[in-house]
Amino acid sequence: MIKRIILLVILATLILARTSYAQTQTLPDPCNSLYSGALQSTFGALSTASTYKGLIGYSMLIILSVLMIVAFLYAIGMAFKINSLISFSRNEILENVLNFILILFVAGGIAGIDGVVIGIAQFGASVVSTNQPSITNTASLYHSACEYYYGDALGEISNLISLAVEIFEISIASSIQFNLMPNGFGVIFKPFAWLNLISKMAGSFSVPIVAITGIELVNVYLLAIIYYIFPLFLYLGILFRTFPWTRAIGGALLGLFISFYVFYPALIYAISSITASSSMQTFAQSTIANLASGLNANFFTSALTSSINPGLSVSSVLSNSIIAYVETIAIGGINTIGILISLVICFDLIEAFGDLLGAPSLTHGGVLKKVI
Amino acid sequence: MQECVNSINNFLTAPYTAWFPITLIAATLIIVILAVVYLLAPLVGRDDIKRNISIMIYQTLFSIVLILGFGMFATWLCSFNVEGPLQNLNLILVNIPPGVHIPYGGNLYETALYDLYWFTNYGALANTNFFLSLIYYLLNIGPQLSLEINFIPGVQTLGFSAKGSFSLSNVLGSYIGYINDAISWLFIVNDLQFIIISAAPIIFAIFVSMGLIARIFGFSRSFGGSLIALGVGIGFVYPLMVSITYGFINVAYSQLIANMLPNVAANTFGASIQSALVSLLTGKALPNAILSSIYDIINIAGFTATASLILPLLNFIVVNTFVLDFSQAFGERLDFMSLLTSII
Repeated sequence: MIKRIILLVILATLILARTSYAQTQTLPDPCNSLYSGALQSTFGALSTASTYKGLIGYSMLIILSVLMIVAFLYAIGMAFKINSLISFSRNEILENVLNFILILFVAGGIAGIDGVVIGIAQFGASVVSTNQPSITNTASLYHSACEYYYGDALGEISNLISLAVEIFEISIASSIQFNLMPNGFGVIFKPFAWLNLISKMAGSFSVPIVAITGIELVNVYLLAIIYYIFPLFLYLGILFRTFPWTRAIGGALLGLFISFYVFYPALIYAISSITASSSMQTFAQSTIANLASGLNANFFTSALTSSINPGLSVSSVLSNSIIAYVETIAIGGINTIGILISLVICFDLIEAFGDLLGAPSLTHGGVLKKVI
Repeated sequence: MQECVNSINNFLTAPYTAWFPITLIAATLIIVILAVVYLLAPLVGRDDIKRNISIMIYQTLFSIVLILGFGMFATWLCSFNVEGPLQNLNLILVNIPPGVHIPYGGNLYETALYDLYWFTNYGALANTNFFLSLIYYLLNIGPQLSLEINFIPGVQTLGFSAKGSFSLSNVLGSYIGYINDAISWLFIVNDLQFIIISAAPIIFAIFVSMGLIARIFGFSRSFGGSLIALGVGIGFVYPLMVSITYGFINVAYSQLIANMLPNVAANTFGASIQSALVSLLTGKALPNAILSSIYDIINIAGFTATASLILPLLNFIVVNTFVLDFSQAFGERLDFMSLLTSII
């Protein structure tokens, strides 16, 4: 009796739970903790603020200090009639004026990045229908790019798991055999041995999927490194540009900051807006399917069907598998290529800023070549 | 860790600080010799030598100013509490297990070493290595599933049979193998950084001192500038970048790992007692636990790969930029990365 009551209670609990609880799997999401303020900002307000008001204040303080020193040197030069000192001081005053303009440009540009990115997003949305979340500030830009690539990386891991299960199923099917050995001597017939070919082919497709997953995960954390550490280059760049000996280094650091902190996430977002759009993905899938059907009709059907095992439709199974795997890899590949294109553009931008800001280390330095 | 810090401390208190006074004495001797030559030059009727010597004396005086400046900078570098400001910027991990000593009031080299040591031995790289090895062993000891069907039970030599063996290592082993290979390479990159950080104080002391002496003479002025830039780049900029970047990575990783277990638990049992009951009774708890663990470990592996690959690259690019531009300001232009690629 007691056992029955216990069983009934468990059953009732189970029914109650099933009706009130819809189980959803919540996968680990590092993007939330990285950009929702849970991780404290590294370089003051700069890495969390979207308007960068603090930048102008700090920069003005630095420039004012340097201007005072230069003015003192100018006064000494005038007093003792040292022409070289007067000329040096004048040049430095002009350089600091240029720095002031540069800071206004950088601060204004970064403050306006939200508008630029929203503009890019609107432009992207006008071309393709995208399901990317809307951008309101710099943090949300980084968050959105992070979520997109992290989600895609998790999708690739799911593909890997399903690929592994498929290989397992194929290996079982391929091992089916008919034995005819009455006295320990005879024949074994394995009608599905050809499935090993598909198993090997499927195994080879796992390599690009692993590579795509790796690149996307690296991109997720690269964005975090840029978001939290690169503002340091802005501060140091402005500081170094105020002194003549370190002016070139300052320019180089500013070039690094502008290229990667401002342009890289914007480019990544713009490209992912296009590649994440349903129309683009449908287009890619239909293109692959069309090409595959041509292959199927011309090559596989005529060659493989007749030569290997016509009765088991080897060709159609093989070509269908190839189409399925190529589709999987192509969708991930589009996103990976987007990352590579953005990186190449940013390295080119570094050189352009090297020219602009007088940093010989970046000017025609082939930074990308060195990195590769 | 403590041994490394002690050895650096011992080194900093003796030969490191001795280099700048030695350089100062050398520069003073050079001035004396130059002064003697300056006085003797008119006696042999060589006014051109006198003119050149006077320029060299000015250069030596300027070098003495630079030696004093760099000497003060070196003293500040060894005594300044870098750990304090970095902690204010949340770039030092303070929640550490017992047995590990955080360098309270540590200088730049101690802080950089601590950050790198933490990352390698307790942080992302160590944990990824541990988790992957664990998975690898688990996959290889089981579970093993073997399926065999015979048309006539017990007789394998006649009739129809199907046999398939399944072990997780067959399916997932190759993926884990890729990640294991990558981790081995990342350890090598990390060890390389340990070597550079350990050598940073001596590189700073010797290169800058030699560079300051070399700058006195006209024929070796550009070489001296390059040595100074290389010394400051590797001896100051590199440890600074390591302490900032790896400090951030350690702090970010501590949060990631803290979220790992709650994530797995939430995926396995849900957020309520009811959901936990349903998960257990319907058998979804086990596959959900396995799947979420795999996702979490791959996530940590991705984080480690980024930190181990991108950060050394970023640090080297910044050092290269600094050396290139600073060497041009002090003398000859020196391309640090080209130097490395030429050697490699």
